[in-house]
Amino acid sequence: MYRLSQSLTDAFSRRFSRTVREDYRQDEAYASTPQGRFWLAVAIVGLLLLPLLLPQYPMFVATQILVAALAGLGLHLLVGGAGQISLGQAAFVGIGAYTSSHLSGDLAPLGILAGGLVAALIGVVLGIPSLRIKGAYLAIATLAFQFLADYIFKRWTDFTGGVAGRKLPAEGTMLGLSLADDRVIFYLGLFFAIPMFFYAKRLLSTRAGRAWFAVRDNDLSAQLSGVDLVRSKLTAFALSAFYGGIAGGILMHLIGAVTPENFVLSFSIQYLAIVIVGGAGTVLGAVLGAFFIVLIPEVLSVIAGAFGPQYVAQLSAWRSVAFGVLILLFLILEPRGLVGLWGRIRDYFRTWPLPY
Amino acid sequence: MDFALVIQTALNGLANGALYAVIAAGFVLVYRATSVVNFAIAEFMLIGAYLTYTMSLFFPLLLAILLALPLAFLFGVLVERGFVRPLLGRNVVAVIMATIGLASTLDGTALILWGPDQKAMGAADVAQLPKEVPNLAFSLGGVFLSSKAVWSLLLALPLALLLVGGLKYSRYGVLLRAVSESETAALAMGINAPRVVAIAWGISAVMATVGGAFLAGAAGGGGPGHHLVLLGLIVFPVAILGGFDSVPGAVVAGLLIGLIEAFSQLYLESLLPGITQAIPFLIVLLVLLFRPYGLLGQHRIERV
Repeated sequence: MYRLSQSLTDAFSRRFSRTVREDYRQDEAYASTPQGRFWLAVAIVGLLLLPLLLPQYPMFVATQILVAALAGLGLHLLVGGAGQISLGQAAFVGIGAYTSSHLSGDLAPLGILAGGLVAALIGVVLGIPSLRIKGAYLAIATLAFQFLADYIFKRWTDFTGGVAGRKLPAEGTMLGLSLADDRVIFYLGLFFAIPMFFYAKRLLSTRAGRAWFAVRDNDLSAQLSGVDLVRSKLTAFALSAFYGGIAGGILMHLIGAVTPENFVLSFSIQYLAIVIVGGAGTVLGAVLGAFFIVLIPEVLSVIAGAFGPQYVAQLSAWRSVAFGVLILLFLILEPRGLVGLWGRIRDYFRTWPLPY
Repeated sequence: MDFALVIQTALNGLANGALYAVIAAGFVLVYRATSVVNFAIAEFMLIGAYLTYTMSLFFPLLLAILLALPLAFLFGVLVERGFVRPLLGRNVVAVIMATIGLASTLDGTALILWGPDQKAMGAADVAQLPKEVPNLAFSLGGVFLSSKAVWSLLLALPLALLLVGGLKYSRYGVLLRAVSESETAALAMGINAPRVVAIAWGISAVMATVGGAFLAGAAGGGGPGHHLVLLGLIVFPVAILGGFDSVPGAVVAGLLIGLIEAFSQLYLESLLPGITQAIPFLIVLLVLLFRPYGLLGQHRIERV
């Protein structure tokens, strides 16, 4: 009798639940249900077709979202994954941008990759203090790093062009395609972003990711269960910086120039906002968060434009208010972010009209 | 080397350092009471300085500062009630994020309310009231001190020392130390811990207001502007150098960083322009790497 009821419940949960996974292979799959696989395919095809459907300016915004999602995802691996806080993500984006600005034209993809690698190297260096300090101290150490990076961006004129920054040649081409075209940049971004998103998704559900979660929840007990703390923390910092650096390279090509004001503290806070608003712990969260955070200024500027020019001047102030309030609201009301909110809405309708 | 110039630089550095000390002492007080790192401390300064400025439109400057203090206290208590208490018991990262969110919000709000231009403190149109504070500038044997520096030394240093003394000897200071030691035990002993914590936030906001108003140039020379936010970030180097959980440490470190800044401005700036802003953060990294408990902090930082 018990056997029967067990097999019945098993069959039932396999049929109706998305969450029952029976072995690690299912756990590590990109999408665990046929429905999930379908939507994943639709999303990728949609992304590839997007530049054919949208005009220039929306493509610019879409590429911005891509960049923000990549940098946010990197920070997300560090904060949501390994539980190490960083206020220096914008600095890594900057390092990637400056490095890749030295290799443009046909070498652009190589330059972006080099930017990511240099950022990762510096990320390991920044990770070293994290072996000794954590929590608030680490936040302040990364804050200090952010300021020092800003200082170097502005002063090391040979490499960074100083306060004026560096400009790319306006007529740059890559394999015969104009780098001034935002659609080309979008494809260039996708070329890096899609594998990196799949990699992050896979990483978080395999051994390395589980080790990070263990470190996040309690580093002492993680060490006791055999997690190599030094290795997991340093790889978390390096990967996070790598994602930031790649995002920086794409951003540099999108803007066509690189100036220090794109890599200041407020952008680090913006990337943190992406992580929180999106929801810590999932890759989807970084995408949703980036959507939200990049679209806010766009929506605000439309609203401000409708109200009158005196509001347009205050746009950046309204933007910081919006970011701040969003961070606070999500932290207090919905700590799992947009992903959690979506899950709650879905559960509500799935059981409607009998919620019990 | 010009001896008088060295003395003058040292005194000016100490004057600025005294302001850093006041702000950092309030910041550390909150950390001791609640173990919350207030990343919005620079915005507390900004709001305090703007409150003082708004008051100075109607009252003489010294009175304006005094009137701004209760408002700042209320502001600090409101922040604690509204944003910190709902997050009690959540992990450190969440609380840090919340104060960062608060900082961003306050930053934008101040910009919207008061505009991006630098205000001139006390320079309004009501000519009848004596607007400026008495001019205390003096020069002695080649050493010239501006009125602003003298006022900072006269007001901020005693205030910082008062906080240190109060924490050690006053009844309220003992209560606060009890709460910071163990909130549960303090509650069991009948201490109204939530009130103590709220008052600590209030005091922190008051200290930030005094520091902010003077850094903004309440005693002559400029007024509050948005650059204060960047000035305010110096609090973190000061607190780290001082030991993060030590109020006396914050005072000593504040004076020290003021001195370092003044001398680097004098000697290093010509070699490496802009280095003065970077040095405090270099100090942070060095201290955290080699002596994470700072000058006077307790040696109990968790090793990983």
